[in-house]
Amino acid sequence: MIDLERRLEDLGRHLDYPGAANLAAAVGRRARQAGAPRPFWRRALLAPAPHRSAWPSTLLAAAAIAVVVIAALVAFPPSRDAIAGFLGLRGLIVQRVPLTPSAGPSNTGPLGRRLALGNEVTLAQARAAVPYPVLLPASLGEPDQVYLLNPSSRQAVALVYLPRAGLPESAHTGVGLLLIEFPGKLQSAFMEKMLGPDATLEQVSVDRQPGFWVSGSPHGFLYLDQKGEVVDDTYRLAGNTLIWNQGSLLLRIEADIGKEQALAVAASLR
Amino acid sequence: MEGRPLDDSILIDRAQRGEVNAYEQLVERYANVAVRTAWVIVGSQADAEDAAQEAFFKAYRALRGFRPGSEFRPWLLQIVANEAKNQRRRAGRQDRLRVRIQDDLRAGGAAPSPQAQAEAAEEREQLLRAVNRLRDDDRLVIACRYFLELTTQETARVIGSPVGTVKSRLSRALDRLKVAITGAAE
Repeated sequence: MIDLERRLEDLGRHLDYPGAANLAAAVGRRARQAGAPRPFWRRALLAPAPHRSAWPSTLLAAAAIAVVVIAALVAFPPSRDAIAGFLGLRGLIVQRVPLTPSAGPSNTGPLGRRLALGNEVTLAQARAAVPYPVLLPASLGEPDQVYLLNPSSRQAVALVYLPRAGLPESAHTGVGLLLIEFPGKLQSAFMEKMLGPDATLEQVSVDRQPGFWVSGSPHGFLYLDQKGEVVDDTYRLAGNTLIWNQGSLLLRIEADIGKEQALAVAASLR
Repeated sequence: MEGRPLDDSILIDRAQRGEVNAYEQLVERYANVAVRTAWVIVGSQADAEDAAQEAFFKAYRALRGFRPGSEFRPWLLQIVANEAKNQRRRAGRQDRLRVRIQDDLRAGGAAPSPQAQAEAAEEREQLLRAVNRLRDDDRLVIACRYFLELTTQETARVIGSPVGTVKSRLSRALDRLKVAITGAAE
């Protein structure tokens, strides 16, 4: 095998690779035309770029799977340790931003579009569409609505529980509880959370698996596409959120409830 | 400090503030590995250059999302690989890795002897044909490791599998390559 490896390395040195001349100049030209890279939170709050707005938002939602809360690592050194501790969560990036995020232009229309949840399906359809078992909180039972965030590749499922006793209507989602389940075995982050200075981030564990609880002032939240780019019109403010890894999944509960209640819902997932 | 290349992190920081010159230096630095990575995926020179350019541009636009302190090259190569895979899908081609032996080397030249050189070239061509007979994912992991000499982390990003499985995938690919070579020789 050593000999074969040596021969492959030798072959690699004798291949007729294409050149990369003028690449820097060509990229530089395009970069100058495009202007400075915009920070996530600015991009999220600004109107979608023209080439993006040409896409139907359902497609964008389907092509994307990440969530962002607002922040700026550099500006807030004390947040770094806390954030580093959370980087262990697969599929998630947390950043600190210097300002409390404001509500972006809100989406209108039905719930699926408003919250960029994708297409509404039945629970059975969602279960058939994704390669992992969809977990339900035993304490809440079957969801009122089910959405499939990305039928084609980065499958994620959103379960919606309407307001009820013990689950007040959330000012941010308009529903009682939103549970999103993402496959965690993805190579790139599909969620990014951006926390302002008034949002608190607390490390928790759910069934001995790592997670955190975001509360305090609302945080910004967006989906990222497969290349890690923010999908512009999916930005919104999010309220109290519990996010954690369970098995191969990244799970996220958003509801206007306290930490203990959210942890109890999480612990009842089957 | 004069004349010393700037760290990636400094260039990234400047590029994030909109200094395109700084970004151009990063592109210069990684142009070759980016084009080569795209090339082993798409198989054609023109498509590889297009994919690399598109990837560098997308990386620039996404640069504000780049985590300070993390490595630029694996992040970039993942974007390049995604772009190249998209390009390949768009082109609707089978992803044959079209590797060619450089003409000047094939024709022979300096040391040792023209005959030995010709034999070595022939041996390389045979090995290349065996590599090209492999399934796509085997070919790609071999190309990443031996042709492009990427790190395990970079290879994982390019082939889209966890770091922990790169070694086992590589070892299986080598096993199958051995079979391909033996099969061709019989």
